Amino acid sequence: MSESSPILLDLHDVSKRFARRQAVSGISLSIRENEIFGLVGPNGAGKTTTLRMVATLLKPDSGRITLCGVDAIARPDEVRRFLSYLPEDAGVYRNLTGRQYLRFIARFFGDARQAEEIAKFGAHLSGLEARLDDRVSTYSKGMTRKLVIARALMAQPKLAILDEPASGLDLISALAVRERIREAAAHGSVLLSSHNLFEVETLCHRVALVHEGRIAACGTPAELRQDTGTDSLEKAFLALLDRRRT
Amino acid sequence: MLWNLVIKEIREMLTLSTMATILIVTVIFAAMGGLVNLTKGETTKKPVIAVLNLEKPEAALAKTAVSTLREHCEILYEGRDDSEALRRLRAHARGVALVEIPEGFDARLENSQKVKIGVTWIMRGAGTLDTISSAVMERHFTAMERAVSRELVRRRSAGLDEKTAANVVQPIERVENTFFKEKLIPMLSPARIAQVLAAQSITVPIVMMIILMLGGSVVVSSMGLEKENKTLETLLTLPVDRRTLVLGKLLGSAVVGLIMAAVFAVGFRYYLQNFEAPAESLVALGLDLGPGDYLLVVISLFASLLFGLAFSLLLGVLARDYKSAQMLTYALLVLAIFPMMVVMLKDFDTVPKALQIVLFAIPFSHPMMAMRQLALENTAFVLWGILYGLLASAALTAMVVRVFRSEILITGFARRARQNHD
Repeated sequence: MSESSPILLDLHDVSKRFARRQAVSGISLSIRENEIFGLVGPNGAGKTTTLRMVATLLKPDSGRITLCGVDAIARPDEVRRFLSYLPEDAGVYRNLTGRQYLRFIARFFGDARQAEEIAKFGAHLSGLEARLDDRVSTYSKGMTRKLVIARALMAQPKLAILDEPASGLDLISALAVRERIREAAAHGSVLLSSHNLFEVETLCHRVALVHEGRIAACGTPAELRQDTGTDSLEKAFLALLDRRRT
Repeated sequence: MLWNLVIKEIREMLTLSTMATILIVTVIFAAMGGLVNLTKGETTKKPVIAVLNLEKPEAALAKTAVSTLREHCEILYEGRDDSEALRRLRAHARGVALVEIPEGFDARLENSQKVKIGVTWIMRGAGTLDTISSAVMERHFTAMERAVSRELVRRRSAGLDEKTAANVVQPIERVENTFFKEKLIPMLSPARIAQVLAAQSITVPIVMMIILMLGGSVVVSSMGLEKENKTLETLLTLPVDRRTLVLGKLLGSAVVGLIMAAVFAVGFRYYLQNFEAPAESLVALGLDLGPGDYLLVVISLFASLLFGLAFSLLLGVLARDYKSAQMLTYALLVLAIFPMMVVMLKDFDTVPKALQIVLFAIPFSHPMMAMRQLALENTAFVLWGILYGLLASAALTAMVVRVFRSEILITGFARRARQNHD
């Protein structure tokens, strides 16, 4: 990814309100091709709402979202061809086997032959080959997470939207997932949200701190560290929050 | 794409445990049918009795009484030893009663005095089916009384033949004809016609309700599971039109529901056929259906099922998880049971106008009423019902697609939305 890479996703002044609470207030950001972009922020800051709006699950009250040059609000069906969304607590159909699940999803991204290739790639990404013919209901939480991450990345989407991708994974599995995310960025972009700031710092090209529905700061991890005079993203995050509160 | 969704629904919903539950219920119904059949067999077999005959051997009226009983019953013992009679009767698995013809039976009758015959019943259980044999015996006692009465009449009126004596004892016989709707049905009472039409008035509504309940609960549960297993968000971000998603869910659930209902209907049909009159009776009454009629019944069922599934999908949207989805199927149950009860008890034409409107408005009523309406050649009513069912299904399906295109599936209602977002 370079500064000159074309913009893949563009959010302009996007807002969303639920009942009496403003969840997102005028967020604007752009993600370039092959960029890994992180959203960080305290609980309830508006990260998941932002991801859901990009994933076409929620409609913004105002603003504009463009993915691959297509208006995501006006033409959500078209935009879904370019993206893949992994919710934080994503589940699977418990009566299917892991392989059946991957094949079921793969079938939406190509004809029978292409789907088989995609599912095979998914099986490889999951690292669960030995257990893929078992019912998902017999999987541990970590195994299920590996399966859904593989599902999200196997079709090589233009934009992978990942909410807490490595949550619930042990250290070795988390490292493997980070590697998969880096590989995914080779042929698309990644928008992720995470509370693990070490993960964000090591993975993301740029990071936005979301606070009370707004972007409080945005930049590369190095820029954010420099701006706050700290030596880690974690400390930068705390300093930025303090600055917002005062 | 659509087929992919349908197969997923079938794999997800048609599990071994679901099928096992349905199979067990089916076997229970079939076993109940078998029990009823067994009891029916008992009514056609001759009851087993013992006769304690204390009258003189040459007494003619006592002889008539015993010979009439012998015609209708299997007499295990005839003699004067009451304890031996009881012992044999109790030892026999089907022993029903000990009948005592008292001493002086003929003399008392000849003198126009009443005679008391003693009956000691062998009661083997207190269940309804356990007492059927004694009910059968009541008919045979009536036959015995009439035979003795005929014999008495003949003795008192010299030269009277047996037929005339029978007419004196039983001088009136009914010949019943019934005018039903636009048809005059000869030689049958309303009760008998109702029995012949039991298939339309009981079997069809109940089987229809079962299909609706099973199909509907599969759809509602499918949505409940999507929410409980957190698969809905993924499904909604896949590159597939929401109409296809809705159609896939409806078709998949319809297939699963129909398979389950078919298995269940086999057992239930076996149970119910014991209460029905044979199909040829319908032909005799001119109330039988042709292939075209059956096609209309199937179309009516399809339209109604489509409405039921779309309605269930809409209910499923409200479900928070699998458990709450199961609770929501009660709403469907009420809508299916109400017309079923009405159709089982009354004809559409005989209920008050307001109830007719309600009945017509519930699409589930139409396949329940279709067979009887077609038997009475009221095809227009069935066609209107089909048209209404299809229109209602289309409107409801469009509404479901609209809901699937909105964000309600993700946010739920405002109260939950506040807890849901980050």
